[in-house]
Amino acid sequence: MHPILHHWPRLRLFLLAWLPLGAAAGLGPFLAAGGAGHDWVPVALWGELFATPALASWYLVRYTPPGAGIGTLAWRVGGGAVTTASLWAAAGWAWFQLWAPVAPTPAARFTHFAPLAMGAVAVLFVSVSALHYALVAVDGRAEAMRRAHDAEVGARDAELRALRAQVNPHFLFNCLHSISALCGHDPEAARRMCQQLADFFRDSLRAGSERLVPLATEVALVRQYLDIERVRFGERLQTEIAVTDDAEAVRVPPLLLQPLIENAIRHGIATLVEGGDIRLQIRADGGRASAVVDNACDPDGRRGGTGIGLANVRARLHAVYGDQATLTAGATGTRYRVELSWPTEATS
Amino acid sequence: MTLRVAIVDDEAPARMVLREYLASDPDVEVVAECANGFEAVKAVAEQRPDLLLLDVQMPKLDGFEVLDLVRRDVAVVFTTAYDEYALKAFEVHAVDYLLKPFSRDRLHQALARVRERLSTAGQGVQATVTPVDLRRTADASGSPLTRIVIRDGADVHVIPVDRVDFIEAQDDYVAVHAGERPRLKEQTLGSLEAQLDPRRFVRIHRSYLLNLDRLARLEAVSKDTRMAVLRDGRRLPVSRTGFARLQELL
Repeated sequence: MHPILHHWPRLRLFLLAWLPLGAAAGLGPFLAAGGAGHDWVPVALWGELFATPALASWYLVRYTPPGAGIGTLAWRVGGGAVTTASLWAAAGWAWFQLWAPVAPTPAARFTHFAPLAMGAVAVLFVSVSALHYALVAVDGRAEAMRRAHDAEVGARDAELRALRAQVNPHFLFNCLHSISALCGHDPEAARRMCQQLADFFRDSLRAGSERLVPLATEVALVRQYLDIERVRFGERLQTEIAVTDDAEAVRVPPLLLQPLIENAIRHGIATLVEGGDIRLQIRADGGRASAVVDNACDPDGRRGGTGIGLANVRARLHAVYGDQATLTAGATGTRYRVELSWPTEATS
Repeated sequence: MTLRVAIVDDEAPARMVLREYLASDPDVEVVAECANGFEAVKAVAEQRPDLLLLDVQMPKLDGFEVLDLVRRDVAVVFTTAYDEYALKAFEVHAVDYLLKPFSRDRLHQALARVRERLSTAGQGVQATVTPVDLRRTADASGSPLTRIVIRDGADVHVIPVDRVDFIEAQDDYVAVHAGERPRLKEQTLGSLEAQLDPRRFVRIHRSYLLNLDRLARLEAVSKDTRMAVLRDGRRLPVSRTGFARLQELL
């Protein structure tokens, strides 16, 4: 996109400024060299005509980024200025011959004023090139800001999606069904489950509104979630959580672990007749923290879910830590394992 | 008439609430309580219930796979927290579809429908099932089968489609060849073909559906007769239309 031709307000300003400059580039040297004042029209038009090569300098600018080095820059822009000025002068010579019957002095005095006029338009050519470089820089910064804004919106979107995944409707419906079942036989347990469910949702929503939360909060949410699922799965769900003391204060994007635990249940424990175990291990050392979710799975089971949960966790880790965060996931035999690793100092 | 019911759900609280709701109907007898699909197929073979109250998401065999194996013998009412299976459920002629959590009244309404269905169709819940329905099942679920379930008395075999070499038509049955000895399933080759991924399973002959991964080469026997040679050396006939289909895919 041409930074001037494609922006009407800029083009209007440019033409307004060019009108006197272009005319002056021709008329100045012409009058100084003794040209007759009443023959000004063809000379002024000749000057205005240079707007075309001046604007075309954009193509030179586009193929010569500022990083190309001062030598290349000077050589190309300077060369462009000399070439276009020469061509312009040649066109002028032919142009004044046509006008000779009505305005004879431009053709007659041509050799006297042409060199100075060429110098003037060469300077204009270099100036307009410089203007193009300046406009590209301005546009580049606007584009960078737009991208940063998009990234921020994307991150917020991911957060909302994570929250939605958290409040997985099927999880809620199954819990309500369990509560309904407990009401008949064990009203006390039904009441307890209502309480657990309320606490879990409240704490999730609170954590979800933060940008970063300590791992201790994440682990507490996971424990609440597992306690609820244990009502449904009973003995089939075995869990083991190990967190080193120094890892508890490490901060992470909220609701990072819960989707992994939910996957471990849905695609692991729930697919096994006898159930199985989920192990969560978290530690921090040497400036990095890691979380491993390792669960039993059916090696012959149908291939997991859609991978949306995992992609979401990866995107959220990436949004905060960039390339310094890693997520690996895969099955070996009867175990499925997801490992997250990230720097303990947030980079942004 | 007493309705003989089997409860199938992998979650204990869900089985509990069904038992509690059913207890208030004197004409219902709970003949089995199953925690997974295998147990359900076994219970149908051994207890001959009139009705399965069937969860969808279960280990090993899901509710639809159970239905596929026992549909000729029993009426089915699905119970699930997922509403997205409802369309598919009715296309495979489930009598009703209960969304968890459901009320006692809603369950009794479903039982009334089952009684009505059983009395009008005589013995015939099976009368409503045709191979065409099976084809529609594949369409409704959208994605091709990832495994084939086969019932052998009270036993159930689950064969991932990756392991299938080829499938052979045998009258009203198909013989699924997957390494060990072939296993028979009561289904037509055409309806099974419609449920499998058409880019992987090719009907090379009226009687043969071949897993493309197993094809080693084609051999011309005469001008119009070709044989498919499998990686393990077995040879299957290829018809002219079968050859055209292979050419299209290779």
